[in-house]
Amino acid sequence: MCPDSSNNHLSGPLEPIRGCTALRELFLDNNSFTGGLVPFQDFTELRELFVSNNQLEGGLGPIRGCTLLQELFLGDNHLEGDLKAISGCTRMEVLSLDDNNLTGGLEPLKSCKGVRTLYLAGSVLAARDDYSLY
Amino acid sequence: MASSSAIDNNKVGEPTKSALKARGGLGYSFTNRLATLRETSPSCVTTPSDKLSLAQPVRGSAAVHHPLPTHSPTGLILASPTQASPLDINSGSTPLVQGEALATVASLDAMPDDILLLIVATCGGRYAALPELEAVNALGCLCRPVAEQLCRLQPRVGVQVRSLVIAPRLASRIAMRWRITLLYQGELTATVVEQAFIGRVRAIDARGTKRLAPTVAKRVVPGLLAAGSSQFELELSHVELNGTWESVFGEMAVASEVLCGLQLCGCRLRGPLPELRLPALLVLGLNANQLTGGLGPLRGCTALQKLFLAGNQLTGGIEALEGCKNLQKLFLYNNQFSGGLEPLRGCVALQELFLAGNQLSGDLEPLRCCTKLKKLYLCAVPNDTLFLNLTPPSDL
Repeated sequence: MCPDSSNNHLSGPLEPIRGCTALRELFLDNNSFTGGLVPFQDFTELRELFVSNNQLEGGLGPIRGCTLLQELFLGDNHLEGDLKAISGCTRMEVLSLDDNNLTGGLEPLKSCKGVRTLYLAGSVLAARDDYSLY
Repeated sequence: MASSSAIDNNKVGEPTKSALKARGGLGYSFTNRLATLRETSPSCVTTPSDKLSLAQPVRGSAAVHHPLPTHSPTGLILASPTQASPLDINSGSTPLVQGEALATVASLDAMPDDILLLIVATCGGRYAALPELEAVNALGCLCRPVAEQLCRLQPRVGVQVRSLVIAPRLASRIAMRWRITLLYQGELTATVVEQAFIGRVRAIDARGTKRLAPTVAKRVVPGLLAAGSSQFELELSHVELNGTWESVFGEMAVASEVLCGLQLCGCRLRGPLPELRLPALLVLGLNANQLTGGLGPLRGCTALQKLFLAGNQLTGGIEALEGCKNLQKLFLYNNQFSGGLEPLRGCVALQELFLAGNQLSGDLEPLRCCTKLKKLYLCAVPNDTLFLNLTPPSDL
């Protein structure tokens, strides 16, 4: 929480950018943003979403419509729930879910055939033995 | 005008051979220029809106009207709605071509002057400031009335040259029909500055040429950037200047009323910027230098659409950008800017906002109306792999 003063340390909810539905690349990582992913629910153009290392919470449901995602970095937040919402992201290549409270296993990622890098360290998911998917 | 054999009066639907030969620029910036014109002189665009409209290029009869298409390039299409097939005068796709539009006019022989000049203004290439001779020439090949109209209006056109030696010959051959301005590409020499000083050369692209003789550099500001200069664009990126602005360019005020592009990326410029009183400036590129100080000197550059200052050691807040309501691309990453995003509140045209690797704080509220954003980089620490390329795209 205590940000290094030599870096950006932006904060607050993501809600103000809810209307930026043309976004293709969104990099907000390593700040102190709070709240859930609901403001992203209409970001259907998103290719790259980096929100690692913030204070985000809630489930992944709101990004269900971001089906063009190729890189998704959610690590080091307080996100919870299962991965069903990203099962439609069939173009996914890099997925980082580490250090969250996500549960329910990796089954929903079966449709993401293109995933070449998957970060799961520190996630409850990682405790499961279904790595064999990959 | 083009030889009369190339002009087939009234047969608009059949492109002439020379019209089809026109490449490299009709499409570039058509939409941008029109958008700009629309904002700066709305009457010019709205009055004749029944005659000129932008549309998706439809190769057929019906035109699907759609304001300002921004996607993939092929060219400017002039079409008469009564014709079965629009006349594509720029089917050759080049890297320069960036826009795509369909100008629908009731009839080519009854175009109001301002509409034709509007179309001419969009015939830019690498340099957005001036329509290029080749492209305007092609317009003249559409049909005789357009050719005659152009002859009467004599719009100023640019010709790209790599040497000034051929310039007089070139000028005398075509000056009868056109008001020529030279767009020079090559090393910046005293002769070039001299020609620019008298208004013969209005755009200089000396990108990547080695060193700039100190005596020439000292004449850049008085000759090209000072009040009264007619220079539109100056591109000196990756020319080794190696010093502070004052030590390289001297102390005269930078106050051109017409300069619209200034590129000095990767020039090893150190220290603070001088006050840039450039009210017409659309593009300023200073990425990858060693500039220090704040953005205060840019306060007067309120027309800016693209500002590239990434990879310097600039400090302070971004308040100086408050008046820059037309910003589309703002690259400030890898500096030491601090404070909040509040000054960007009115920048509703922003499409690319790169602020990563600074010391900014506060919330996202000021970005609420920036709904055109396509790329938003606010990450705390710059990811080196993302930001290796500090040179802005060559398309100004």
